[in-house]
Amino acid sequence: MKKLDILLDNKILSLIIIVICLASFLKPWLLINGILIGSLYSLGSIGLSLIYGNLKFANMAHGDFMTLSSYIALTLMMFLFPNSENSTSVGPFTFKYELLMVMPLAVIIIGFMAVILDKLIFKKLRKLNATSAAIALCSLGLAVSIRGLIQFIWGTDSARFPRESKLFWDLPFRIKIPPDMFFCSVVAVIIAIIFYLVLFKTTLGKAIRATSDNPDLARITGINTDRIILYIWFIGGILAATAGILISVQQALITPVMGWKILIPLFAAVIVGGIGNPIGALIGGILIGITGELATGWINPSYKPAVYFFVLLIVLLLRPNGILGNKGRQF
Amino acid sequence: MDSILYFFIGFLIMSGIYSVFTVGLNIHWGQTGLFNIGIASFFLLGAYTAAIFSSPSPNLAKYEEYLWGGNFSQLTLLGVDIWFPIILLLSAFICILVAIPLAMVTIRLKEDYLALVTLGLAETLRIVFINETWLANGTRGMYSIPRPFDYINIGNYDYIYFVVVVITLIFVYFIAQKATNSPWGRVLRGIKDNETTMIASGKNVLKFKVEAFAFGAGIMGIGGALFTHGKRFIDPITFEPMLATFIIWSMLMVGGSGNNKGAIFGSFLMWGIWTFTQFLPGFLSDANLRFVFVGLIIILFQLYKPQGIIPAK
Amino acid sequence: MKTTPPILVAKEITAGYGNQVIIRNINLELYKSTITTIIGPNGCGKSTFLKSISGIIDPVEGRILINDIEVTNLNTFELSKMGLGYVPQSENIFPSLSVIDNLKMGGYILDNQKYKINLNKVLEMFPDLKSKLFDSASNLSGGQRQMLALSRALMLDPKIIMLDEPTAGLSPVIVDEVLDNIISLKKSSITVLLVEQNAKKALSISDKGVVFSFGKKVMEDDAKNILKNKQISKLYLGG
Repeated sequence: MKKLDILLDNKILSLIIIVICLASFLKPWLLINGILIGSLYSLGSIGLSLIYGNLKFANMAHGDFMTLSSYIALTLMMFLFPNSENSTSVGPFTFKYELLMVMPLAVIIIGFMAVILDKLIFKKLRKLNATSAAIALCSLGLAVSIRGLIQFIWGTDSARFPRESKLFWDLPFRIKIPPDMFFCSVVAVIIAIIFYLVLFKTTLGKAIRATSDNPDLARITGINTDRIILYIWFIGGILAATAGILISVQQALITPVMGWKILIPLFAAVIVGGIGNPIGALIGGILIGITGELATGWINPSYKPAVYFFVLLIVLLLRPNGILGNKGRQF
Repeated sequence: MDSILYFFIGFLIMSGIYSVFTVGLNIHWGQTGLFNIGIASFFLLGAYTAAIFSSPSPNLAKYEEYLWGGNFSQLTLLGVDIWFPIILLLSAFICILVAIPLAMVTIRLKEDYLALVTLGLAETLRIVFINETWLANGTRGMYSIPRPFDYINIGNYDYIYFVVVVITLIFVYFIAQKATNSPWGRVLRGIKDNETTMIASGKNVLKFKVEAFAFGAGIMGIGGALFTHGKRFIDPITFEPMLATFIIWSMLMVGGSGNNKGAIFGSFLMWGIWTFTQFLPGFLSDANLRFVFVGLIIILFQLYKPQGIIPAK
Repeated sequence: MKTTPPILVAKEITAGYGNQVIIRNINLELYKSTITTIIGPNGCGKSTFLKSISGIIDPVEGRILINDIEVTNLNTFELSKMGLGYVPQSENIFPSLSVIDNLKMGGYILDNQKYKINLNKVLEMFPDLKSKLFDSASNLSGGQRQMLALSRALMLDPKIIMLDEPTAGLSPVIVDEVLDNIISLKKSSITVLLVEQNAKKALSISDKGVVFSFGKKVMEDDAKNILKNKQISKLYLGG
């Protein structure tokens, strides 16, 4: 029975891989788009995976952290550089130099906000020994509140960073790359690599993994796990904020629901890669991006969220521990 | 004076409809610990099932694009609208049909996977009903949906529908209460408190959870149908998560999860706050602040009063 | 021996999980360079006692003093700075880290220089680990795991070390090896508090024995006397 299961599941998996390869061969421009968009999903899902793997709950507010960072960056830009609408943009990209200056500031604000929210809410829940579902429920409440606050302050209409239209890069095989998208993907991959190095090569990263393995034992060895959890929130917040701003640049659009709408592909990427596995989340994000884009070659693009949902379902059905399985390196 | 009374009756009708959802959610979360944040999916399924089956065939002159209206509203027995309870049960049945396979895929896994899947389902269903105009008229929505006992004329139809809602709510409350106090309900609470003990005592925990999920989903389907016939207009925007999922969660948190009476009390209280805050002066009546409020309610009750105002015994 | 002040004093410790109290009013004093063994049936609160000393669970009542300094309300991670080492019974290593990283975490609060000195010291004591330094800790055998757990605790030069069933599930040869290590701890003037199922063997290397029953301390005496005590040996030492 078990053998049959494995066989069946390998057959379905290989079938899926064949379909994806065939589709990418037929419409390679969609594959490239998918990789580029997927790298942005990766950045969001790495932060989500970090929180999920270490604090053991699905953070429903992650998407709204992303949204908030874009609005904060926008406000900082308007406030610090009121003339940025007329300034020159960076090289072949549509965004202005000013954005690069306010981005670190907005990202750090979100990082600290995540830390404060942990102190206000999640620390208390840990003390109460709340179940992971109860903590996730609170993060859902937080998501609703943040969105309400965003809509209260900035309104429900969409916004965008000051930008200047630029030509796409034309490549063979009908591949057209908006320069912004390329920039965002490169930044996403660089940040993912930095994060990987922090996690696996520094003492802080090892302490994070130790805390994740066994918080009691970590305390016994003298690690201040409360502080480690704050670092986790800070890093998670930074990753969410960076992803949020980059996605706003790439879409040339900021809306109050952008973060909430992206939750399903992000969670799908986290589960595809195995919860708590940063490399898995990177691969998962890109795979989700590719699948979503390729699907638009044959079905109505407005069904993209449904495609992500079905990917999530298929993964839960076939590989609930992620495609790298249990053997994938965890945090 | 009359207009205030009508307004109040309208408020009671909506609170009663929300109570049905909250009782359904109470079976998921309060009794069994199933984390469903896609109440909107069953809300939508119940509502559209009721709308499609009760509406007459599409009127091409009005550019109605859906293919099939069940026109059940013609079904009467001795002058009584028996089509209405049939529609309610049909809505429940469709929800159960969708809930069972979904639960079987996810419930054996981590508890929060169910949340992700229900969340995804709600969004997916909404997109399907936006794009597939042949199904239910797309974004233009279904309107002029028949209502039960329309022929009784006592001035304001809302009085009649209020009675319909109250009777339905009593019925739902009764079966939920019956289920809660049955041996089946006790097993569910056992699963919530200590799953390992239940597995050790030989209970097929998975089966119980799937049943509980289907049961709760069915009740939510009834709520959806009740909503449809009350509002008489539904479109995909009706099922945005704020009013179709989040507020129901806040109702359960406030009232007391695990307790059907608390769930109903919470629905009236939260819907009251939601409705009457729009009369606050100045920026306080801003709908977005109510979002913030609903979110905070969920958080604060989890932190300081996880049992809600009327705790389970 | 009573002339020197005790290094660790536990006064009237009452502790448990949630509302359930497991141990009541336990008093215990530990003296420098001694081995004390707690014995008793399963579920009598031995592990709970160690956990409440180390702060993993907060005692409901009672005080804990190390070298006459009140440490009752200190966080667990601060106790390691006070010279208290603790090796829990199971899950006492970080499985997803390599062996060297486990030791690195053991010396988390040390500066780099001190860390290197202590690492060499610990590896000299447990040369078996040297060849496995870069392996994942999850691949170690049971005995090696215990050694890693013990060396992790020793990274901080503890004055007191509490070991919760260090020989559980090990083969007899390895059990002796572990007990030898414990004796050598005593020789390097570390105070040892031991919880053991292998009561006879443990008492034979101990200075003092303590008997727990139903969450209470029922007896405390020299280890030799406890080994001789007929009633105790019938009840807890297997005849």
